[in-house]
Amino acid sequence: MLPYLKLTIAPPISIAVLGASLVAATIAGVLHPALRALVVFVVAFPLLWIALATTLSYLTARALRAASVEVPSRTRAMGSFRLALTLAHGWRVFPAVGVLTNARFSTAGGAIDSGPWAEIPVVEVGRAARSSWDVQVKRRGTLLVGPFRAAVELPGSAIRATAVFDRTYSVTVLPAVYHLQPFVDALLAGRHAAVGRFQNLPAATEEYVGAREYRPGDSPKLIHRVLSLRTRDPKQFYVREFQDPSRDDLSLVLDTAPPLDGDAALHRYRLEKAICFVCALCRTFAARRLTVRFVCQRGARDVVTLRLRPLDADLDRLEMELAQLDLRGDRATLGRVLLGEVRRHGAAVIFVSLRPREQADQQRLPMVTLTPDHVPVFTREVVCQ
Amino acid sequence: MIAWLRRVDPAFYHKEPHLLRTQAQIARYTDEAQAELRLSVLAADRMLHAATTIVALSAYAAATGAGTLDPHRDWLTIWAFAVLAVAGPRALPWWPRADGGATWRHALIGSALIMIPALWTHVDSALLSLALLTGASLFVARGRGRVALLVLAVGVLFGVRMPAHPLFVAPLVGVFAAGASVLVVRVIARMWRLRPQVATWAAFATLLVTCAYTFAFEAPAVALRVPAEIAAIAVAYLGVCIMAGRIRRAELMARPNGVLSIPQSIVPLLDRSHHHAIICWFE
Repeated sequence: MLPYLKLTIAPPISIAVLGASLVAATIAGVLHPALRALVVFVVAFPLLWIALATTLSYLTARALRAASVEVPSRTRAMGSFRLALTLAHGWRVFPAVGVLTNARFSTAGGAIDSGPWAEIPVVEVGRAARSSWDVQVKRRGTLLVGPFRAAVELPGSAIRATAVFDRTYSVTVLPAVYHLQPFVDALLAGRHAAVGRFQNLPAATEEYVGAREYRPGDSPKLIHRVLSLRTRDPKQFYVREFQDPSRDDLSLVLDTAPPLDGDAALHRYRLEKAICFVCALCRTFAARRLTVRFVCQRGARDVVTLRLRPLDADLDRLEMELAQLDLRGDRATLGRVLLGEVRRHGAAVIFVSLRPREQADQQRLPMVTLTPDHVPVFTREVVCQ
Repeated sequence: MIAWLRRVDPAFYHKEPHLLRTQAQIARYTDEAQAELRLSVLAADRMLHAATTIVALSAYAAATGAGTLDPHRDWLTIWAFAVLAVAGPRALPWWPRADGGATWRHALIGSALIMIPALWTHVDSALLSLALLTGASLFVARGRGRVALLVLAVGVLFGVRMPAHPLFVAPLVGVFAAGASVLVVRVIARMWRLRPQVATWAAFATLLVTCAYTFAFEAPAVALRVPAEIAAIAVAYLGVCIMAGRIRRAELMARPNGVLSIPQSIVPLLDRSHHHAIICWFE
């Protein structure tokens, strides 16, 4: 990769001070012919040194090439990755001494920050050298890495010659991984009754998958009598659970519509938590061999639907989708999506909401709504990968 | 529910504030912090201290015509250059903190500076007195007194060249010199954070000004020993080159190797502020 050069001249005041000193020494010495050799030496040495250092800085910076850049195509929020730049030196006369390298980081919205300078003490003639950074990414989305810069400034040089490698690399930052509390697994024993079942009795195509503890609202017809009689507590009951293997097990709807109340930062914070939570929940479902239908609104009149089988490829698709998600939904579309999912036959619906309370029309729908208050209780901690 | 969570996972409740503090805000490595780190590297660099000393002693030799100045006539000039050569490097920011015996060493070095060049020319009571005066003034000057001594030495150097008595002119010139020094030090300190190599150019400029002073006022004495002068100045210049290399080395060594922190307000850490949360579901 060929760079373009950016030259930074020494501070003008230092140039002025040195120039004035040179002039003063010249004028003071030229009046005395006996001191001519001394004056020439006194004035020529700094000038030659500065000229040599400046020329070498310029030529070595111009000869630098980016041999390779080591950057992952995707990473995970709250995780870190290794970024490396390998520089090759094409000039066969003088090595590049004291090369400082750094990279610029930006998102699609604009530049974020420049990375710290990393030094390469010497790039030998015709050889390559490598500098690397550990980058921790916190923000989900697309991270742009580049352009890379390599600065050469030999001692005494009047310029800092910076080779700019004007190429940008894109890194997709996936959502952070949450661990769910163990009791979430218990809640998800079976599929329907645990997460919002609206059919009281099993359909003909469903088959028995297990039993769980009775909860208020369960149909008495589902009580597992044998298992309930075995318990020591006479008030403890167990109910049977059924599952239809031919259909999607669950519908998971993520709210992307900004709430009307509260500040924008709080909404964004809730969205980040909700996204991480959805990601963890889908992984839990996949571990239980359940098929999930994930629905969310990506933008105006843009509703995305993913059918997530318990496969790594499908989970990767989900994470790539979640990585680019933003608060671009609207309430009307969300209501239509929820109604459509509820009307789909057989699948239970989980709605991950950004509002602390459900709206009146959502309360009437047979689904489970997880508000921002639920997420901290369900989740345990962030896992960096 | 919350009580149960606290019971089953107590470690997290102690860890969360730490996570929030460390992962949400990682301090950037500022220019000031980097300059401080660079300075600590330079303060531990013995070769840099040796090079600085060599530059100062060579500059003294060049400025005094390698021992040709007359201690009877030019005693003030010799005293001022000796004081500047000994106390000047000690005022630099990278010079290590002075210990208990530093003042004695400075006094001895100052006296030796005056005595050694005169060993093969002329040693008399005037020279001995001058050496003692220099040693005493370097011994007495401690802390801020050393800065006052430097200012006084600069004032004396220019005061003796004015058509008035040096004792009257020196304080006046010293005040001007002090003001100019404060200005220069501030400018260099500001530029030093971003461009450490400015110290190299400042060293070249100091040597050139010293040479200009010598050429202007001590030309007849210097003309007697031009080869020795060239040798002294060459040694001083080489010392400056070594200083430049050491400063660049410190600049490379004092690079941060920390983790990049991307500033943002959204960190998907857990928020445990909603302790009243209830798990609910609908049939």
